[in-house]
Amino acid sequence: MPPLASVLLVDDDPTTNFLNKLLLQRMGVAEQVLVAENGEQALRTLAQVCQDTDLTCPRLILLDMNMPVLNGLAFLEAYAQLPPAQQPAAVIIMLTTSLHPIDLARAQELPIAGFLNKPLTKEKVADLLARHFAR
Amino acid sequence: MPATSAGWPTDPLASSELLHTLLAVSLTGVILFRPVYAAGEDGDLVDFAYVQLNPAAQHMLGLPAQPGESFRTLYPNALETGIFAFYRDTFLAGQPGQYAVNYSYDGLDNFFLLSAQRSGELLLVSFSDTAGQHSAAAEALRKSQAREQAARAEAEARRTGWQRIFEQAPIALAQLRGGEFVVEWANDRMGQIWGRPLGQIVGRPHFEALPDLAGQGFEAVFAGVLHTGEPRYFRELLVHIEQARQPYQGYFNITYQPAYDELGHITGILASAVEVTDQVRARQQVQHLNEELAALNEELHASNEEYQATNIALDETQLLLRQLNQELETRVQQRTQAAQAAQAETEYQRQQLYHVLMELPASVATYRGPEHIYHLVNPRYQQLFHNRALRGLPIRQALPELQGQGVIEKLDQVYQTGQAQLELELETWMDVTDTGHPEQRYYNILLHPLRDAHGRVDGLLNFAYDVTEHVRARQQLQQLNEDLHLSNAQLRCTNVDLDTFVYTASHDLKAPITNIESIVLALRDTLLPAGPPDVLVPHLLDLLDQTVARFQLTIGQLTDISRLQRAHTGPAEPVYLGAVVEQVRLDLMPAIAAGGTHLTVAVAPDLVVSFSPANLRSIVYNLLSNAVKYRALDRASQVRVQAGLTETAIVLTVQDNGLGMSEVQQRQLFGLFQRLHTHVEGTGVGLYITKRLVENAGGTIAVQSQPGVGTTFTVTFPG
Repeated sequence: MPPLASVLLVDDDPTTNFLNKLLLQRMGVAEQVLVAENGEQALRTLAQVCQDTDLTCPRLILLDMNMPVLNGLAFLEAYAQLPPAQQPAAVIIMLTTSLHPIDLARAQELPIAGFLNKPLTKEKVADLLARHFAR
Repeated sequence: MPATSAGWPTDPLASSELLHTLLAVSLTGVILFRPVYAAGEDGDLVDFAYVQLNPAAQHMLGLPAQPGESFRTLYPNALETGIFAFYRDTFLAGQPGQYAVNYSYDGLDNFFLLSAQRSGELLLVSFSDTAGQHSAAAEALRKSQAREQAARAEAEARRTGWQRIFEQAPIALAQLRGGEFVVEWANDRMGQIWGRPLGQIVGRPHFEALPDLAGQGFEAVFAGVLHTGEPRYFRELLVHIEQARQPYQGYFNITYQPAYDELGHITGILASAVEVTDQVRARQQVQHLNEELAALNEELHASNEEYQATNIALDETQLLLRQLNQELETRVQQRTQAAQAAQAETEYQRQQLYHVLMELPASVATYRGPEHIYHLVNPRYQQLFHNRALRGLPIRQALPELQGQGVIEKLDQVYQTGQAQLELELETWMDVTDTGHPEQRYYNILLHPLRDAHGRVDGLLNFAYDVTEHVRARQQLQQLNEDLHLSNAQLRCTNVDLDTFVYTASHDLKAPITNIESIVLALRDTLLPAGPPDVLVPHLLDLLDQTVARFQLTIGQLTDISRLQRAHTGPAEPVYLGAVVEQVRLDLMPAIAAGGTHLTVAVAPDLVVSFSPANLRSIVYNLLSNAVKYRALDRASQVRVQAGLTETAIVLTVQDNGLGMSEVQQRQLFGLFQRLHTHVEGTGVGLYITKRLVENAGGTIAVQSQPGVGTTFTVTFPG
């Protein structure tokens, strides 16, 4: 089972990022785990890594909802506006602390592949990979 | 005028100038009139227009040189004083004329000597007045005219006075004039006897207007009185009259007297009549009986001895007669009494009305006239104003403080329009304590017009009710309501704040606890593969796991509560209750199987509840899972779910034979964070949420329970 080339974690909590990165690395999910602390950083990171070749472009983005500067929803809106060449064919999973009905309803209109309740666990990652990457 | 009169200048220019000068210096008033004719070809001379007045005339009459109005417009009395006729006749005749007159109308009061003559199509009038020089003759004429006028006025007044008396007299009166016996005047009583409106009779010959009276011999009587001057009297004269509805026969005492003019000439007849029909009829009856009696007496005399018995009959008849007489008397008495009683009744009713007005628990006053002069004031009304004088005073004077408050204007309005007006809670400032300090009072007021005999408004009825206390109480209540409203709004604000706080707190607590959970996982992965350094480490990690799990459950349910506060209920829609119960049963299958619970469901498949589907599911889930969860371990678990329709609601019961609860426990049951049992998992918010969901939708939830026997929850959904 070859690991994914790249995964992008977007969360304003460094502890969460550290723990999730540790988990993914231990599970050997990706060759490269990129980290952004808000939506704006995430867009910048995408613009950098997706410039030359599709290889380094993240295949999976785990996105937090509540963040400063540019939150999860705003990021998704900006992401949808990118020209198709710069829009990596990534699976975007939203990580939240609650499956609030209002959030769920809003997510129906967003270009995301699914929701996951925090915290991220081995089981949830395995399930995600099986579902979206057939691994 | 001849062109060459001796001594007069012949030069026309000089003549004209001289004439002007003459008129200017003349002490005699000179007026030049132009006749005015009525419209049409043969129009009569009806008035004169002024062409010019000389200065003397202007001064004497107080008129300008060329008044715009006509002679008769300025002097309407010129007709009856004969001045107009004098002018007109003089003009038409073309001969000079003179006329002396005393004119004391239209701002003038003088004896005038008038001299007039026609000149071409104009009339020249020269006149002098006696304003400066009253001649004895003029004064005498003046006085005599004044006396005449006074005498006429007095005679007129007397005549009017007498006429009023005659019109109201109980005796029928009429005056007939001339040989035709034209009905000149008759009073109402005479009209009643004649049996038709006076308007149809007055002004017409008597026997033409009243043909039914012709041929009864009155013609000769009238003619006799008219010619001989001898009055004629008739007692109990039978007269036939064709009255409007039916022929009438009545007995009258009638007098026909000659009427004289001032010179003693007979001008007609005065007729007066009193109807005596009732008296005549009564007497005729008695007479008739008397005649019968007399006849009987004769017979009795003839055969007195033979007909002793008849004497008795006679006695009896006499007795009857006496009785009849007595009866007649009694009847007369009774009638008199009845009339008196009726009068007394009217008086009594008036008294009653007065008493009612006086004792009414409302304030009543009546006003008279356009100035609203207090007439009747009941004690209640007087109380409103202490001892202030009201009766006989106009309201503006009695209650000067009302000025400018719009109240008197309302009275004026009702007086003018005749429309009654009701004013509710009218605010006024009135000096009710009579201390010179008006107070704010509120009244309900009915203003009703009072009318005279002709239907014209001549007063007002004011029916007032003091509602000050009532209005004040309501204002206080309103104030209280507003305060309550304010405090409600504040509470609602506080609630929202609390909600927001709980939501934020639970949300913000979630992030770190999530991280702690991840850290424990990471620690476990880090420590365990390296081999256990200490047997305590796995146990401590387990404890940490459990603690985090408990922490998360609590935060999760706090979040649920805050969500409940925010979303309240979703929109209600028809839901099949049976289907919801079945779904919950399937979801709980593992727990039901694990507990060995025997579940029976008795819910009609077509039973529909109007509720938010998610909330309904939540309720059923909570009750059913509790029933399974809190089973008694010493006996087989049995749970029964049933639902049915009552008259007003749908009732769902969930009954178990589980642990049951004491009364104290039941009271705590629906509170927040109440956990009654320690051996099962739970945070104690489930029933709190259930109760909130049910009650928010207008339903009720109740519990019946006995420790060691079981528990029954009853939920009522509004029908």
